[in-house]
Amino acid sequence: MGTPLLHVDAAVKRFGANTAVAGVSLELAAGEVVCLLGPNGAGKTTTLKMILGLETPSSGRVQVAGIDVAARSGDARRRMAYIPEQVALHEAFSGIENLRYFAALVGGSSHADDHLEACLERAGLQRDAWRRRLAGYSKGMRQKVGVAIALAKKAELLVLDEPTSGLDPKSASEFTSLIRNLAQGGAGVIMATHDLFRAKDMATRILILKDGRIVRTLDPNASTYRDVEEAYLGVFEGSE
Amino acid sequence: MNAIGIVAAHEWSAFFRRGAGWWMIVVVGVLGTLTVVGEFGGWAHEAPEREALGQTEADQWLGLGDTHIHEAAHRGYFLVRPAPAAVILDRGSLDFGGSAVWLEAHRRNSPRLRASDTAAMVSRAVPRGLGPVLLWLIPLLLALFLHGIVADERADGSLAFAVSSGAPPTSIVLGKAAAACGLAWAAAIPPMVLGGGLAVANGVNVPGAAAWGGTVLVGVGVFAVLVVVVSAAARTPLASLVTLLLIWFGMVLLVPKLAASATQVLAPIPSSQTIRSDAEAAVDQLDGTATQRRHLERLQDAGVRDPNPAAVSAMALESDAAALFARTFEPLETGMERQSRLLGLLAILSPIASADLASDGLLGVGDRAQFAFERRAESARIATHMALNEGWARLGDSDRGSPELWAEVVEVARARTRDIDGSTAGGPGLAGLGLVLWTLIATGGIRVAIRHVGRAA
Repeated sequence: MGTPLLHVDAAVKRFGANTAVAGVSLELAAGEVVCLLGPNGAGKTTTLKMILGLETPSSGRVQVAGIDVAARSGDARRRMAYIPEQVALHEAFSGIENLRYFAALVGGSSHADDHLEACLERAGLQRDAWRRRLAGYSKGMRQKVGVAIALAKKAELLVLDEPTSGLDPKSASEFTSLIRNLAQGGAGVIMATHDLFRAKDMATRILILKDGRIVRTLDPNASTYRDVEEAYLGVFEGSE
Repeated sequence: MNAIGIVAAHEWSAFFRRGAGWWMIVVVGVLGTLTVVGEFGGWAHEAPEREALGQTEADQWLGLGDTHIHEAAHRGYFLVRPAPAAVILDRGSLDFGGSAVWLEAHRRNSPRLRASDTAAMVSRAVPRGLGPVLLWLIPLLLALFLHGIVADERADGSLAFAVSSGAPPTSIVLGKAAAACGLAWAAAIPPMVLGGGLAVANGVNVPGAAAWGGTVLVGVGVFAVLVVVVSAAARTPLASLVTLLLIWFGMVLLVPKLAASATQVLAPIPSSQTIRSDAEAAVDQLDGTATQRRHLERLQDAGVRDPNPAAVSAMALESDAAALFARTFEPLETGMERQSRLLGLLAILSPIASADLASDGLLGVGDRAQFAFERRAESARIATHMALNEGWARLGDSDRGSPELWAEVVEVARARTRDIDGSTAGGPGLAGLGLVLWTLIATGGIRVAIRHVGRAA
């Protein structure tokens, strides 16, 4: 077996007396989609931040494609793409201009327009929006630009934080399909979400977090939507 | 293009899309151009007037006919300072010394040197001259238009997105700093080229004008970098704006004013009245016998058979008085030199004040240029009196002048004051050190900004 795309080994994160992540271990291979489920304060976002190198683990280790994130966060981030809940881009510029800027900045080199257009097309952003200023974009459209940035820099690992929060059902469905396609194309995806339905739809593995630990692992293919819901609620009602 | 260039190009484009770039260039361009046009117009109007006044004064002497020497010596003569073309760029300290000195052959008006703190922008609430206008206005516009250059992106989350996605914080900060400097210089350069071109075309030497311009650009460039640093460190765009406006107020208005006041308290100079009284009292004590003998021998060696004794006595007294007056200038000049140095040292607290004083010195409109005029005025007075008395000595028994004598006297006086204008480039003084220091501070600030940007996510 080769190096996993993502390897989190007993990662702990403390903020003073508060332990946000109490020891999370997981591995993710190319093509896998792992969803972190849990309520607010469960440690999902902190786990993602440790993966992105935005927080240094108090103990434990995080590696992306074999690169120690804490030691070489810049190198690690170049292998990843981050799509937060709100994809914040530059309002005065169009979709393609934002893509050109961020792709060049984070990818390390400029891209030809036809390559950028292909990324926007694959991300599902409608053509007539490409050259419109971002001020007129919906949340879903901004997310598609975020995905296009990931495509342009050929990110191996996608890190998503509540990506379907606030999206209408159609946009959420489009996004789900897009992520599935990217995973089928070889990208690894780790996603934090409250959305049990999307998690069941997208994931190859579901991890339920509570109090900073992974307390339950589910195989979505072997579970129904009801199973996922009951497993999730069972964790928090203590009826394990 | 590397990451810094990518950020700089993007930021530059953003300046103009959001309007800040256009506003800066237009406002600075218009005000700078109006300043240049106003100063050039004033200078162009003044130059022939001064020349005409100087000619009128000379004509007064030339029209004396056979007036008695002693009476002629009391007629007096306005030595008019040539209008320096450097004022097109910066009035510096030339503004306070007056434009003419009244010379009588054995008396002159008291030196009108005032404390060096009134020299430059440092004491003015409203700037005069292109240099002070640029140093006052560009930092203010940078604070108003660019305070959000990092803070806005932190507030809307795009900075966190960029850093989280792998954008190097170093490239982000350096790219923004380069773009901010670029905008400051783009706004400054057009009026500087206009003013510089006019000044050089009218006698200001190119190295002096170029050094003046470079110093002003360094000053506004340092402030542009400080804007990026403050914007990166501030919690919110509003905090960034308030902080930068306070910094502008401090650096452009408060520090120069406090430096000027402190200079007057810590390094006071004797009043010109005190100096004059002391000098006149000392002159009254002069004997002149030995000097008289020396002048007599010199005139006889030059072939003057019977030098007029009254003339020789007057020459001797003038020589001794000249030496005395040279010494009386010393406390004044020493005092002003001390003030100038202290002011330059205190101006280190502000890159804008440092740039202003340093650029004055480099253009030749600083204190040293004023000293030069006053010194030359005194030298002209002495030479005028000496020329008059030598002429008188050659007249033998006659006490009456002639057109040839008056022409000689006028030429001597003029020769001593030729080329007193901004063509003599000086040095930046201690204020230059201030600029170097602030460049280092700005560089250090970049590292602070990089740390803050790195934590933005």
